[in-house]
Amino acid sequence: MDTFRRVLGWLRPYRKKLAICIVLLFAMTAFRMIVPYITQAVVNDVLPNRNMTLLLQLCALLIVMTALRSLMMYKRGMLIEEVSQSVVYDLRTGLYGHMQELSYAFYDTHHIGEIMSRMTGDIEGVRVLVVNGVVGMLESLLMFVLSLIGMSLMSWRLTLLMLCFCPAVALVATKLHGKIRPAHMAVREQNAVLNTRTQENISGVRVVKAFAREEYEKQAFATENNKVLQFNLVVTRLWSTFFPLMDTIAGLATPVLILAGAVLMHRGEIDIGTLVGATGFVWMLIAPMRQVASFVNLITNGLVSSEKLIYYLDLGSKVRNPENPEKPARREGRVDISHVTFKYGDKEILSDIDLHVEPGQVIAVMGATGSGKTTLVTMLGRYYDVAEGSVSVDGVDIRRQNLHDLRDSIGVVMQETFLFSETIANNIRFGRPDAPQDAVEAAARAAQAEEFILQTPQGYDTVVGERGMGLSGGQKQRVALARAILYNPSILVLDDATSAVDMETEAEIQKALGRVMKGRTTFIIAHRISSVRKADQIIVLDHGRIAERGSHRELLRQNGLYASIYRDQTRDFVTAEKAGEQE
Amino acid sequence: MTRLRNLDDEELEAPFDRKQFFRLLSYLKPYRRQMAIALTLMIVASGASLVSPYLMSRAIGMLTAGDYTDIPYVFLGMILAVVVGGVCLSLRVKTMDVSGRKAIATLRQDLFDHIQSLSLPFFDSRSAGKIMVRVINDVNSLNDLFTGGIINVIVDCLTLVLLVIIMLAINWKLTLLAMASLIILFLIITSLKTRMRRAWQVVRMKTSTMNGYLHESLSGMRVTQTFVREDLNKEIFDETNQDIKKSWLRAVGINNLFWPYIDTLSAFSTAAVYIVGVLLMGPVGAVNALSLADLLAILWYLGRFWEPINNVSNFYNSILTAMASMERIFEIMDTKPQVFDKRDDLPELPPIRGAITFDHVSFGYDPEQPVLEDVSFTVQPGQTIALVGPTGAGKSTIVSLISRFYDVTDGSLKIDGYDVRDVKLQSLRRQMSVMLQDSFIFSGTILDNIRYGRLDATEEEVIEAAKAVHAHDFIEKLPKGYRTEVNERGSTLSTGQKQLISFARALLNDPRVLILDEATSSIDTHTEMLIQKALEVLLQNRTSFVIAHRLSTIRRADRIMVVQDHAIAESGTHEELMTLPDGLYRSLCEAQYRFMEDESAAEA
Repeated sequence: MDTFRRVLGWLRPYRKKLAICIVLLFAMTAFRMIVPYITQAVVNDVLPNRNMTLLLQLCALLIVMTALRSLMMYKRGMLIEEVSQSVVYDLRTGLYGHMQELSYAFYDTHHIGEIMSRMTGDIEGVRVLVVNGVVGMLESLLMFVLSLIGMSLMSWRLTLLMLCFCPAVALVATKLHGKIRPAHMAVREQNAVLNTRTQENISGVRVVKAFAREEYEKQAFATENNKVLQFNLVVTRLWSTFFPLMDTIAGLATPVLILAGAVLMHRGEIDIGTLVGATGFVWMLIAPMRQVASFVNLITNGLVSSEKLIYYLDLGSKVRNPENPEKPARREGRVDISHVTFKYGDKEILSDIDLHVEPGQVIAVMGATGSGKTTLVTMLGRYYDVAEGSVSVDGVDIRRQNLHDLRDSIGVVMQETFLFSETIANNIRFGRPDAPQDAVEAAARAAQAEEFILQTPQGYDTVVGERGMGLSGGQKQRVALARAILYNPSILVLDDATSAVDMETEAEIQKALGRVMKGRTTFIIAHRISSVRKADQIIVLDHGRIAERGSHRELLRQNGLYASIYRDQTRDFVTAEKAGEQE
Repeated sequence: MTRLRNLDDEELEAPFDRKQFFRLLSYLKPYRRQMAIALTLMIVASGASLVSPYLMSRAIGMLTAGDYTDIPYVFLGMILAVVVGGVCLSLRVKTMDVSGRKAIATLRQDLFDHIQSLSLPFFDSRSAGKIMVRVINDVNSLNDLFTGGIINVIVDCLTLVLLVIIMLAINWKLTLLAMASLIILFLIITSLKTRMRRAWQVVRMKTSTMNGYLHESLSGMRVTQTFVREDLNKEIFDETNQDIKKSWLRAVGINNLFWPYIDTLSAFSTAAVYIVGVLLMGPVGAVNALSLADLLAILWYLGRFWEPINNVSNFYNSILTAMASMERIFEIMDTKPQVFDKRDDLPELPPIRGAITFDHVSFGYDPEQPVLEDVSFTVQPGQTIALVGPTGAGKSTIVSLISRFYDVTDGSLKIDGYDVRDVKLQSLRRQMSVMLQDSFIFSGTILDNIRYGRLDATEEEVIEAAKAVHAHDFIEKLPKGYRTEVNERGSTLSTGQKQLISFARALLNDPRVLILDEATSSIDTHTEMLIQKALEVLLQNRTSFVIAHRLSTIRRADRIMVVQDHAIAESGTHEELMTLPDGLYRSLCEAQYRFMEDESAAEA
């Protein structure tokens, strides 16, 4: 019921149009009731004395009425489409806007495919609910009631007889509804499984081929494909039983009417014109009854879809803008992380992290896979909220800052690079859409990306991303780096940003970064000592805690984790040096 | 917005192609008998439905004459017609639906199976999303055609013919009069339907544009939020959304003209039939004139015309839409795999010892642009080879050729003296493991993911493999251990953890040749050291190729090959290569070494 109220709420802005729609609906249905009376008049009044004047009048009436009714039909059709399209538009725009605000936590737990099906399938469900469900049912209801009245004015006895069909139709309809819904759901679910199966097979094609698992994949697909078939056949069986059954029951109404009409005529209670007119009412009466099942189906489906949409709409972002945001006096890149603990579900990812960074400092974060490095830096832009402690940027707790302002001052190069299906220039420009071309090129140069960009077919105008040219991992990282450089943030976060580039290029990038990092606070996550050793502070994370901290030299002196990593990595160079000396 | 223009829309319609159409129909061939039955049932059903108006009009005729004796028979006849019609309908839906859906399932399986046989170049040139659309949406869109469309249209045509015959038999003058309006109707319908089809096509195109944008912008949401692009995104989305609304209302505007036109026209023709009918009835009591029963019968039959005409005109539209899907499906089915077994009787590759020979190999993904030119080298069984060189030099290409993901354009590649093209592809790949830069995780448990390397491995063997690559510790700490559900985009696992899992997977496969393509780039030094140790043991008696950027990984190799300018520029051990005065490898090392050097100086 709550869901229904919400759906009505979506319709509220368009209540005027809906009201006109209902009036039109009423008028056109009423007009339709006149047709059987015209038939009755033709048989009873025209035929006995071949009254041509009356016939012409009746025909004119029929044409005028139908033409008027057609006009109204068109108008009401367009009105309801306008309303439903507006509702769909509102929902889509609203939902999409909402998606922009939801925090990482949402995207960690929801598949893109699932969100997509909400934004397409379920919104379509709501559209159908509005057009065919709500208005369609109203139309059928009006038709039923008005033809009941119309027919009983002609002959109440025949009307009563026709009413006897109601319970039978209703019974079949409810039976069908109870069974067909789970069947439809099963098909839908299984289709989703098949979808996932196919998608994974194709995305993972290199793995499939590398392990020569084609036959296994074919069989796995066949299993799911066959399940889809079986579930579909269940639906088929239901339809092929119930649908013809309803049809047959409704079809029986006419012979019954004829037989009863004959009996009544025999007893002189009705005349032939009334019987012929009544046949005109039979279909108007039966048609709404036959549609009961599909309405119930439509409405339940529509409400299920609405429910899912409401779940998304009500999913308040856990990370919200404060009511009265505070603005730091200056955006200079001071960061204070005080006793921060962060939990993901029940799992503690960060424990009691304490880190204070002066503007312009370089902070290196090291640690084993899964030790919380990435999580720590995502705290800065408030992509998650901390469980305990606080994060302040430029002296103000980030929970009291305007999110957009905060994130505007932080540039991130992520571990997994994502490029949009856009030109390279527009990808670099992503955070600053109005940046001029020379600024884009300068950023690309700083990221050591210009050389390979100029080698692509259309240079900066080459389209990349899923629908464009494929770039290698190292090339993607450099474009992402250029994107962050152009963004010109006061805090720069590099999350394993050069892991896929070769040694020589990395050395070049390092050099360029030295210039870029000047005047900004920089966080670097890296595994190579060469990338971190110049940092002002190096912290080593171990299971979510800061195990070691200090400068390169201090950490070497501590002779702990960092020092052992250093030894591992420099051994190569020591050997290399020796080899060089022997020469 | 440029982004929107980059979304290439799919062709939504294609001209009718008889050959393709019959090829599609061949999928229904196994169900010929069922189709014949369905067709017969439908003809009976439509015949039965045509009996009712006639019997009804006879009843009216009897009643006007005051003759009640035969009414019960007419009543029974009508009941019989309804019941026969219902039973036939039920059986028809069942047979046709079952056959159609089975044919669809077969088509989908064939398509999927064929895709499995295709080689990497096919996947390189298409996005996963596009292939998905073929297998799922395009196949689905043939559903209506298969489960009834074709048969229905035959029956509708037959019904129309039958209708005309019956009406002509009752009264040819009135029938011709009614037909005149039907011709007008037919013209209106065809012109409307063409306009309608075009308008809906625009709607579908706009919708697919929106979906494409939606999919990408949701996938890149993290980037969007990081760069505070939300407002611009909303603007772009709003624009596409407006487009859909507008095009929809345009299309539906034409759509909604349909029934008003038909209703008005049918009112005109009903009026005409009334007037002419009454005139034909002549004065009261006229002999051989039109009876009331016949007049009513004509009117009732006239009412049955609209639906079949509507269906037939819809069918033409749906065929055109189906044609487009059909073409896309067959396009894939007709794509030949580029790498395949030349003959069926190729020998299996015996257990590999691991000697690999590149004999004057040249290769290019695009024939115009060679990636490798005249590359020759030999690897002894059990050796570990490190491939070094700048991004894009051809390191990955060399290892792709070894597992025959691509075929060489010139020269030959031999394993233990067998040319890789002269043995069964499956027998070659089964003995190799490749680990890629992006480790791919299937949805399922971690156990399943590791077991993908060897499907019949026991749980103990899986755990053993995980232990060997040091993945066991972190797996154990997960909420459900080895039974933790993971998925492709799984954020439960870090990049490094995913790599460890794919390591275990490769290890379980117990390959004779192991290829690591930058597989350790996101693993921290400590973990990598552990893996190195494990691999040292495991690499014994295995030939392996390692592509890595890190010196620590590279220098342990038996031989280092520097790939540059489409060829192997240097080859030798770390020590050997360091002695080359202007060596590439040496300069690569020194670039990294310089970082360390000034640090050591500072420390000293």
